[in-house]
Amino acid sequence: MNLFKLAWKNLRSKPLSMLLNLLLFGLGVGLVVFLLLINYQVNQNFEKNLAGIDLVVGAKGSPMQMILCNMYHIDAPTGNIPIKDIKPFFNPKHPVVKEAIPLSLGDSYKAYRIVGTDTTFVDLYGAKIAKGRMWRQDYDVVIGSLVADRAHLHLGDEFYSSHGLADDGINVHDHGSKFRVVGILKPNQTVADQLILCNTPTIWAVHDHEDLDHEDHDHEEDGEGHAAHEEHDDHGDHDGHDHHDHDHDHDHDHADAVIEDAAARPFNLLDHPDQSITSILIKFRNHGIQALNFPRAINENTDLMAAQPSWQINRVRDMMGTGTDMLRLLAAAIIFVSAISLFISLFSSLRGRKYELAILRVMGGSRKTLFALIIIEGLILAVLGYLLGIFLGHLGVGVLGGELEATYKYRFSPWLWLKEEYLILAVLLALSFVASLLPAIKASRTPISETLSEG
Amino acid sequence: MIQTRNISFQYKGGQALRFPDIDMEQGAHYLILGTSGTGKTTLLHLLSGLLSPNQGSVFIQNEELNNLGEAGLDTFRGKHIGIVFQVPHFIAALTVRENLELAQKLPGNKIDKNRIQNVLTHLNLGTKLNAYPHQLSQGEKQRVSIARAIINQPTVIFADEPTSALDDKNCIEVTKLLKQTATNSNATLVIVTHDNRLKEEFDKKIILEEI
Repeated sequence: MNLFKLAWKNLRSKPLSMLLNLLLFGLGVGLVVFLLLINYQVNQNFEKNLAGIDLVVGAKGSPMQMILCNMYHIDAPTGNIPIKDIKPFFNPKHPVVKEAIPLSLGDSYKAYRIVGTDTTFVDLYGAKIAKGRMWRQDYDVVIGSLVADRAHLHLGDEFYSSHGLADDGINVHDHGSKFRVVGILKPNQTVADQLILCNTPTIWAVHDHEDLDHEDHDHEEDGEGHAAHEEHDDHGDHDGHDHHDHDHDHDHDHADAVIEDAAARPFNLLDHPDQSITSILIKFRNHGIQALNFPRAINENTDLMAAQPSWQINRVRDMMGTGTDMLRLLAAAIIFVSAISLFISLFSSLRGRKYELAILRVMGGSRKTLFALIIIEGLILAVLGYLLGIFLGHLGVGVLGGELEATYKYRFSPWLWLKEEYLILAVLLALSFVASLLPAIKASRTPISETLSEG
Repeated sequence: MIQTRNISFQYKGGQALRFPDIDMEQGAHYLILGTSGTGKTTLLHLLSGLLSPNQGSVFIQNEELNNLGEAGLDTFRGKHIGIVFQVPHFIAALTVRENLELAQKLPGNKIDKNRIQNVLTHLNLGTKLNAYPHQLSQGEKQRVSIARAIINQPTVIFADEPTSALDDKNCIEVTKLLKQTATNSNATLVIVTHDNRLKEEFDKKIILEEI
C-alpha cells in the first residue's frame, strides 16, 4: 500500500468525478492529437508533392485551382493550352527552364485521375515500378499503389475511363479502346500513389473517339484546323502522326510507317502543335533574376497562366490555417477547462476527506505525504486522460481518415507517432501539477487536532 | 514513561488550559476523567503530539516530543503511539486490510500480513479482512480502529471516548479488548472519558478539574 495505490483507490472510489475529468482531458488531447496528425500529414503531402517544381503553366483561371489540380489532383483543370503556344518551354536551350513535363488531364477511373504525361513524371516524384513495366504504347497505363489497392486493379486488367473526376458511372467512355494496366508503382507517399499514368496521345485518343462518335463535324473541322496550321509546323510529318492518333485502326500502311518513324524518333509533343494539353510542370535551371521575372512575363505577355506552387500552397495553408487555428483554440480551451475541472474536483474532495487526511497524519504520514497524495491524484488523472486522448486522436484519424482520403486522395495513417505528442504529455503534466498545487497545499495544512476534535 | 511538566495550551481567542504534571508508568492503565470543557481531548492531543503545548514539555520514553520536529513527530507517532478515537474514521476507499497495511507503511515499517491477520483474528474480525469500512457495524468499526492503533505494537495506546458511542455490551467488550491488547504488548493505556461505566474498571485515575 503505497501512495500511488492509495491515490488510485481514492480516485476509483469516485468514478463519476474521475470519468468527467478523464473525458475532458481525453477530448482536449484527442482533438489536439487529431489536428497534429492531420496537419502533419497534409503538410507532408504538400511538401513531398512540391517535388522541386518551380512553376506550373496552364490555361488562365484561378492559380490556386491550377496548382491544386495539376500538383495535388484535388480540383478540376482550368482549361487547355494549345501545344503551339508552349513550344518555347520545351526548348532544351531555354535560359530558365531546365525541365518541362506535360500533363493532360480530364479522365478518371473510379475517381482516380488518369494523367497523360511522359515518363519523366515518374522520375519527378521519385516513383519506382513495383510490378510490370513502364508504358510503351497508347492505352498502356502504370498505376499508383493506392489506385491498385482501392480500385482493385492488377497487372493486365483492362478498364474504360470516365469523363471528369466523378465516379457516378454516367460519363463512362464505354467505347473505343480499353486501358490496360502494364505497371504498378511502389507506394512512395506522393501524388503518384493516387494516379493512373499513360502517355499523352492516349488522352487525345480517348477524346477524339468521343468527338468521332458524337460530333463528326468537329473532327472534320479539327482536320481543317490542322491543315490551316500546317504552315507553322516545323516538322513535316506532323499530319501523319495526327492521322495515326485519330484512327490508326483503319490505315495500316500509314500506321506501320508511323511505328517505324516512332522507333526512329520517339514521340515528340511538339510534333502535334494543334493538340492541346492541360499544363506543364516546370523546373528552373537556377533562381536568378530571370527566373524571378519569368512567371510575370508569362502572365502579362501570353494567354497562358503561370503559378508558383510554393506561393499557392502557402495561400492554401493560410486558408486552412484559420480553420485549424480555431480548432486548436477550441482544443486549448477544452484542456484549460479540464485543468480547472481537475482543480475544482480535487479542491472540493478535500472537504469530504479532511478526516481521512488527519487520520493519515495520525498513522505517521507527514505534511509532505498529504501534499504528495493530492499531487499524485492529479497526475494520475492527467496521464490517464492523456492516454485516452492519444487513443481518441489516433482513432479519429483512423475512422475519419477514410473520408479525408475520399476528398484528398491521400492516405491518412493513424499509425504515426509525432514528437509533439510527448510535448503534450509534458504540458499536461505541468498543467495538472499547477492545478493540483493549491489543493495539495491546503491538504498538507489540514489541522489534525482541530479536525479530529470535531469527530 | 509519560511525563508532562508544567504544560498549558491556549486556543485562539480562548482561555489558557493548564494541566497538572503527570507521571505514568510503562504498562499501566490510566483513566483521565473530567466533565466536558476541562480539556480532556486537548490533553490527549498534547500527550500524543497532535498538538504542541504553548508552555511546558511532554516526554514519552524520555523523548521530548517538541524536539522531534514536525515530520519526526509524525513518524514517532506512527511507530510508537496508537490512538483510538470516539468516532472511528478510516480511509473509505481502502479495505480493512489495506487500512492496516497503510498504518504499517506510513511510519516506515514493513508490511506484515501475518501480523494483520493475527490482530484481526484476535479482535474477532478475521472475516472482515477485505470488507470496506462502510460495510462494518459500529462495534466492528471501533474494533478495527483498535486494530489500527496496536498494529505497530506501540508503547502507548491513547483512547479518546472509545466507548461513548457504544451500547453496554460493546462498551464492555471494547474496554476488555483495549486492556487485553495493551497488556499483551506491555503498552501503557490511557483512556480519556466521561463514561461512568468505565470508572470501576480502572484503578489509576487522573481527574481534571474545571478551571
